Amino acid sequence: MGKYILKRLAIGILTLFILATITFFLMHAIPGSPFGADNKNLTPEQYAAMQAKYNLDKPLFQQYTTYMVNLLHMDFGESISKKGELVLDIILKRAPVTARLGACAFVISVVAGITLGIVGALTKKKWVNGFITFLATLGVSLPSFIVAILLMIFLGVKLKIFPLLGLSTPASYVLPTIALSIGPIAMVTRLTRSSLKDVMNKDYIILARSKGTDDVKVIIKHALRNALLPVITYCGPLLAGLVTGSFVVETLFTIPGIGKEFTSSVTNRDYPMIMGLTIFLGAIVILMQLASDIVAAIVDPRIKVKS
Amino acid sequence: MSEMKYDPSMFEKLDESEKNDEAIAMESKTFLQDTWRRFCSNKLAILGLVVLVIMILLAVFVPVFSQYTYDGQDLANTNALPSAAHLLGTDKLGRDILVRICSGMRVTLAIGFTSAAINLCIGIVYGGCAGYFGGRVDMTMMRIVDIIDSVPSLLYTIMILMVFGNSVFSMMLAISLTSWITMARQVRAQVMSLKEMEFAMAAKVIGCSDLRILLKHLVVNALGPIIVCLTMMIPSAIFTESSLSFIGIGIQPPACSLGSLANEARQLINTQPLQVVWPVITIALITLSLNFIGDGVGEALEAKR
Repeated sequence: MGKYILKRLAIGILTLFILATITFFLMHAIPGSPFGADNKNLTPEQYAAMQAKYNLDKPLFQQYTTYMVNLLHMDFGESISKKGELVLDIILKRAPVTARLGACAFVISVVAGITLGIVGALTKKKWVNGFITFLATLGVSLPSFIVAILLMIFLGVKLKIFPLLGLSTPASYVLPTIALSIGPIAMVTRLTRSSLKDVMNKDYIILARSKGTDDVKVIIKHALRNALLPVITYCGPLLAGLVTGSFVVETLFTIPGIGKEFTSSVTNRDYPMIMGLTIFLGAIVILMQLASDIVAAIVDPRIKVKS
Repeated sequence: MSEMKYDPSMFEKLDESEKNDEAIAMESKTFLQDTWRRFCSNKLAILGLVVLVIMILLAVFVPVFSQYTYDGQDLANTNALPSAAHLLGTDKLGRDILVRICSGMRVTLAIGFTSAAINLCIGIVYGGCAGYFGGRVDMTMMRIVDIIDSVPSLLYTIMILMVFGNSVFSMMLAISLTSWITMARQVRAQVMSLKEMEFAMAAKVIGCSDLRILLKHLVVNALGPIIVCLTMMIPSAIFTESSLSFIGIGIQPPACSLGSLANEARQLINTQPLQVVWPVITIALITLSLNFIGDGVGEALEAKR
């Protein structure tokens, strides 16, 4: 197990390195410079000084090696558009906002998704099942901003129950959380329902029931334990996606999180910021995937971690 | 027991028309007919198809025949409510919303279908090569896929979009460059299992080239799962396009897509909520009907397996 984790971490670091390289050159291929917008206010000397300050006057490859060496010391550099602020500080300031929202959405998606999935797999009533199928299809096929806008119109504008923008009060968490979790709820529901249906027809479930074990115990102890594996492997990427933020939902609700920071840093050509955020997001995704694989191995000992 | 006596008078000649009466056979159907019949038995999928066709017709014909253009402003008549002159009303610059939505639909649908097609090509070539050649080639190619997969794809779409500028074409390119992974994985898995089969070996023995075996024998036999994957790709491309345009990174004015229309209208959400509802409902209808069609096609094709 330890060896496996070490190997995965090594691959992860290699992946991050390649990711940083690709991003670096892709980013510099974007036309325009960070000082493009206020170019008129800068004299040629000032412009040259600014370029020199952020090493932008050096050849591209030299910039790359300098950045990579600095990265080894955890030095992400200084943001260009927010003068004087360190990239790492900005990320550490923005990440908790996104993470809090993401965590709420994650808990709701998993709890609601599994519950709906269980009901869908076990119900004998046709309309209940049809209703759940309908919800699941709706959630999978609608982009999150559509759900968000409809919620904003009905609950925010018409009924005025929840505030529309920002994250100032606990009530303002409600709309973004729902918007973020509709899609994942539908996915978790589908996964739980289909695998639970499979499991319920297995011999050991029939055995447990014919011995007279009560239904709740059969479902929780025998069926769910085996049925939840696909859900667990889905949870890793899901948590990563939610914690690293949804660009769309954050922009729509003007939430000062990681996703919004990323979109604005790309439009501002804020090179150090783009690099820092990409590496940060990439690292979280890789760690979460590793975590979900480990949890899956703990829950189901039959899965041998390949080393 | 006396022996039975037969004589010709006991038998009469069968009429020609009754000859095949007891044969138990149906008219044989091709694979495509079979699939189509199964698809038609799925009511939701048919509903989706009908809605989609109506949407496409609207997108093609409304801007042609309407008296308004998508960017024709009428500042005397801004933010009008739906009426006989403007079926869905006008926006903050007095432009007809119906025409704008239909032109936006053109852009959105074009991006969805084209990028799915590009995806299909990249996926077949990449996944096909990885699966067919196997070994070290496969390992390297799949490692690359894993790396690309470990980054939120929206991140890359945004950057590629920035590199090529905000045109419809670069949008197609950006979406297809980042979303071919699923297709490549699917094609690889299919090719890997199909290449072990006898017909592939037979083709090899009679001296077919690798390219011919791959395209004419393996990929053709994997078409079922590939089509299923393709039908799911169109809505997800539309999903990405409208989300990006919605946060103001995609299609830029005066050109419009459904996402950018929703983005423009959302600034007026407090005073003119109806203007946001139109594009949003249109996107919802398109993605929903495409998903229903995709599910229907998937069920129809997989019943055979």
